[in-house]
Amino acid sequence: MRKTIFICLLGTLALFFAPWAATSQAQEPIKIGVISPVSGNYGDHGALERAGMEMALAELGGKILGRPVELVVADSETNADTAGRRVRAFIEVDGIKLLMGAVNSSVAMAVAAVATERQVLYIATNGNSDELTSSKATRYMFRVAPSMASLGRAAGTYAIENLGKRWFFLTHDYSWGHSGTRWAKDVLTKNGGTEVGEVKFPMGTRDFSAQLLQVRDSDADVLMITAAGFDNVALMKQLAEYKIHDKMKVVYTLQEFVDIYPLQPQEHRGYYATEVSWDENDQLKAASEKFHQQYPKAASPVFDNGNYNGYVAIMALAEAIEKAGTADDVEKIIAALEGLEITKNLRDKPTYVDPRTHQFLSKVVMVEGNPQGSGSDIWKIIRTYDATQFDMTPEENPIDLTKK
Amino acid sequence: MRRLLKDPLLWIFLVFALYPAIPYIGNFISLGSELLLWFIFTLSFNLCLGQTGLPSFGHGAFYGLGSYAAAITYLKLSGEGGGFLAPLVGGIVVGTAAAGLLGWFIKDKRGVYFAMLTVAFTQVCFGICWRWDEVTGGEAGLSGIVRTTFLGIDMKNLHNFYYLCFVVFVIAALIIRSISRSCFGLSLQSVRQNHIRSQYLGYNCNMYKFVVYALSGAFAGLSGALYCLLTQSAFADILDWSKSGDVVMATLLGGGTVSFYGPIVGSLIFIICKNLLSSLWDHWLFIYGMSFVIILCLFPTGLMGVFKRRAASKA
Amino acid sequence: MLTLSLFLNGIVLGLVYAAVALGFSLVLGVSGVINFAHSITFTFGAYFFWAMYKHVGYLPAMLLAPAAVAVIGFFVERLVIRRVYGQDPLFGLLITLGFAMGMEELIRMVFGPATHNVDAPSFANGVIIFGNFLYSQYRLFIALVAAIMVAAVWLFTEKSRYGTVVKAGMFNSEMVGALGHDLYKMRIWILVLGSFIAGLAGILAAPIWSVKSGMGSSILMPSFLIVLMGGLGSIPGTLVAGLMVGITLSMGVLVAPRFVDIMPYILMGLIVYFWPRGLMGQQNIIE
Repeated sequence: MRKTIFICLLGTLALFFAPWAATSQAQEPIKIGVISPVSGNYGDHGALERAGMEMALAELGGKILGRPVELVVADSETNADTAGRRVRAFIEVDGIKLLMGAVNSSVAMAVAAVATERQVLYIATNGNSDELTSSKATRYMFRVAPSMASLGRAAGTYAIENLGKRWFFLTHDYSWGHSGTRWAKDVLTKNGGTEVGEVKFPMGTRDFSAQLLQVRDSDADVLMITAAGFDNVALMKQLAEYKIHDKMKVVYTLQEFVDIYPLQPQEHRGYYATEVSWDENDQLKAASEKFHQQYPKAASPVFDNGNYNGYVAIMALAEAIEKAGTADDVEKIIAALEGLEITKNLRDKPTYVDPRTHQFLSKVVMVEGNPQGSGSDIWKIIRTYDATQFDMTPEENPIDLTKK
Repeated sequence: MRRLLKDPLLWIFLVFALYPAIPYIGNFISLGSELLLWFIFTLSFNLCLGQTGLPSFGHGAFYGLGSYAAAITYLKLSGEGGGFLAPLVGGIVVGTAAAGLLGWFIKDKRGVYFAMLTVAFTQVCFGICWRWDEVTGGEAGLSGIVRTTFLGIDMKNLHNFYYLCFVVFVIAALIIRSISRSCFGLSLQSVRQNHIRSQYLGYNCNMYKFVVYALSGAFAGLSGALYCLLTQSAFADILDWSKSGDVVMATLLGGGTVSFYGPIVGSLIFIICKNLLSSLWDHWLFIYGMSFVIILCLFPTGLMGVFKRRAASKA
Repeated sequence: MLTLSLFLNGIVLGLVYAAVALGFSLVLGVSGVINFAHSITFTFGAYFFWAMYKHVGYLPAMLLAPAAVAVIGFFVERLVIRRVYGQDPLFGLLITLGFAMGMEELIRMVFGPATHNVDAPSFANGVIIFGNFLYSQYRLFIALVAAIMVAAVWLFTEKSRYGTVVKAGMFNSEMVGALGHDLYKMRIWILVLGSFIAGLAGILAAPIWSVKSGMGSSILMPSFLIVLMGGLGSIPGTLVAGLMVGITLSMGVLVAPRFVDIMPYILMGLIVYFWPRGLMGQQNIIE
C-alpha cells in the first residue's frame, strides 16, 4: 500500500508540472512578466492595469525591436508573499528578465526584492509609497506612479492656498497612508496652518460613523484624507451620508477614477489629487475613447491612474529597449531607462525618468468632484502641477542610484 | 534493512534529495524549498490537529512571527556576514514563546472555543505587525536580508539553500515522527480520542496540550524563519487568519487526521494547485474552492483516508 | 457630548451587528454547523438587490432579494451542509469556507469585479440634527429593521410552538428526533431562515458600503465573534454581544483609533476566557 502512495505522489508531481514544462520551450519572443491581481478583491484594478499595457502594446504593433512581445501574467492576489513566490517562478522557469505591474506598494516591494536578488528589471506601475524610491529603492526597480510626496504636497499646496488653514487628517493606517498624511502635514507646517486633529483608521474599516462623528465635532476647515480601495468607496459614501461636505472641504491626497465612478453624483464632491485625468488634453481624450471601445467591461471607461501607468510602463520599456538595442541585457536597458524622456505618454511634455531615484516624473493633477455630473463627467481639472516640483528633494531622500 | 526500505519517509527523502535533478521539475527550485518548509510546517501542525485534536487556527501567526523574528535578528543582531544560525534560532525561540504563551492561556479550552481564541490571537498579531512600522516595517515589510555563507557554503546559490532546507526538513521530520511515536505522542492520541477518560487515568491533559502546542509552535517558527531566508524578506500578510486556514485546509485535504504522511500529501497538492491553477484561468479560485468542497464531501478523511480505507478492505 | 453621540452611534451599529450574527447563531445553534457560507449569502443579498431594486422598487426588492437568497440557502443545505451534520464543527467550517471562496469568485464571474452603487431609499436619505447630535436617517432605518428582525426571531423561538422545538433541538437534538420531530426538515428550514436574514442584512449594508464581491468577508469574523461571545444559539446573548461590539467599535475611536479593528477580538478573548460558554450560553449540541 505504501508503494501505491509513493507512485501516486510521483504521479501527481509529474502531472502538475507537465503543462509548465510544455510552455517553457519557445524562446524567440520578448517575454514580459506581469505581476498583478487577477482574482480576488482587487481583480478589477489589476485588469485595468493590464488593459493599459495591452493597449500600448497594440499601438506598437505588438513588436519591440522587431521581435514579438508576449505578456505573461501571474496573479499577485494583492498579497506580497504570493507575488514574491510567483515572480520567483517567472524568473526560474520562464527565464523572464523584464517584470512589470503591481497595484499596491507592498507587492511592489516584494517583487523588487526578488528582482534585485536575481538581477532582472522591474517596472513598478501603481505603488505610490515613498519607500519605493527612497529607503527601498534599488537599481533594478523603476516606478511609474508619482510618489506620495508629489501627490500629498500637491493636494496640500492647493488646499492651503485655496481652502483653509485648519486641517483634520483622516489616515489609512499603514505605511502608504502615513506617507500621504506626512507630506500634507509638511505643507501645513511650512505655511503656518494648524493641525486640528488626526484619526488613523485600520485597513478593512467599513463603517466610518464613529470617525466621522469625531471629524464633525472638530472645527476644521479642511478634511485631508489618505485612503484607498474598497474602504475608500465606503468612506466616500459615508462622507455624503454624514453631510461632512457642508461643514468643511474634503481633500484627498490621492484619488482614483474607479473609486468615484460607481458613486451617486452628490457623493462626487471633494478636491482630489490624482495622477492623470482623462480630459487633460485631446490625446488623452481620444485614447480614453479608444480604450472604452476596446475594453467596454473595464472598471473605468476612461484612462485612470491604473491603465495610464500600465500604458506608460510599456512605452517606456519599448523606448528603452530600442535605445539599448537589446531586450536581453538587463544592465543595458537600465542604463537606457535612466534619464530617458518618454515621448509617447499621451501628454504634451515627455515623462522624465530620474536617474537618481528611478522615479518617473510627469504631472500631478488637482481635480474637483462634480456633484451634478454623471458617466465619465465626474470631475473637472482645477490645477496641474509638475511632479518635479514636489517630489522628494535630495535632502529629504539622500538615495542616489547612479552611484554604485 | 527491509523495514527501513518500507519506510515511506525514506522514499520521500530520496525523492527530494534528487529533486533538482528531476527533469523539468528541478527548475522550480524555490518551489522545492518552499514545499520542504511547508512539509515541516504542516507536519508540526498535524501534531496538534491529527495527533491531539487541537483545532488551531493560529499557526499562521507562529509561522509569521518566526519569519519576523528571523528578519529582525538578522537585521539588528547578526547583520551582513553574520551568522546564518542566529535567524533560525530566533525563529524557533519566538515561535515557541508565542505558542507557549497562547497555549498556556487556552490549554483548558476545547473545540470551537479553542479555535476561535487562536484566531483572535492571530488577528491581534496581524494587526500589530501590520501597523508597527518601526519594528516590522508595516505594510512594506522587512527586506534587505541577504543569505550569506553557512559553514563556508555560499547560500546565495539556490541549490545550496535548497539542500540546507532539505537537511533541516530531514531532521525536523525525523524528530516529529519520533515524537508522534513516543509515549508522549501516544498519550496525545489518548487525549484526542477521549479527553475525560485519559484525565481519569491520571494524565494531565491540559499540560500535554500546552507542551505539544509550544512544540509545534517551535517548528512553525523554524519554517517561518526558513521562509524568511528563502524570500529574503518578511511580510505581515502571512499572519492573516486566512493563511492559517490554508494550513488547516492542506492538512485536512491530505488526510492528516488519519495518517502521519497526510500533511505531506496535502501540502504537495495544495502548493502545486495554488501555483498551477492561477496560471490556467483567471477565476481559478472558483475551481479551487469547489474542488476542495467536493473532495472533502466525498472523502471526509482526506486523500490518505482513501488509501487507508482501501488497504483495510484488502486485508 | 461627543462621547454620548458615539455611544448612541454604537447602539445603532450594535443592532446591525446583532442582526448580521443572528442567522449565523441560529444555524450554529440548531445544526451545529459553523456556516462560513454565511458571508456569501450576505453578498448574494446585496447583489440581487442591486440587480433588481431599480426595476421593482425599494421595498419589494427588500423582500424578493432575500427570498432569492433563501432559495440559494436551500440548495447549499442540500448539496453541501447536509454532509457535515454530526461531524466535527471545524470540518463544517472548512467546507463552507471553501464553498464561500468559490462562490465569491462566481459572483465576480457573473456580476463583474467592479464596485456597484446602491442608493439609499428616498424616504431615509438625510440626516436628523438635534443641536450637536447628528443621526443619519438611513442608519436609524437600518437599526429599526434590525431590531424588528431580532425581535421577530426572538418571538419565534420563545413564543411559537415550532420555535420551542427548535430551541429544544439546540440542547438535545437526539431527544427531539426521538420525540418524532423531523430534525432534518427543521435544519433545512433554519438554514433557509438564516440565509434570508443574512441576505436582508446584506441589503441593509449595501447603500453605506457599496456592493463588491468581497464585502461578505468583512462581516464573517465579527458575526462569529458575536455568536461566541453571546453564547451559542442564545438570541438575547447575540443581541447583548452585538451591542457590546458596536459600542466598543464606536467608542474605541476615542481611546485608540488605530486598534479598533482588533478590539472585538480582545473582547472576545476575555469573555470566552472567563465565561467559557459565552455570556448567555448553555450546554449545546456542539459540545
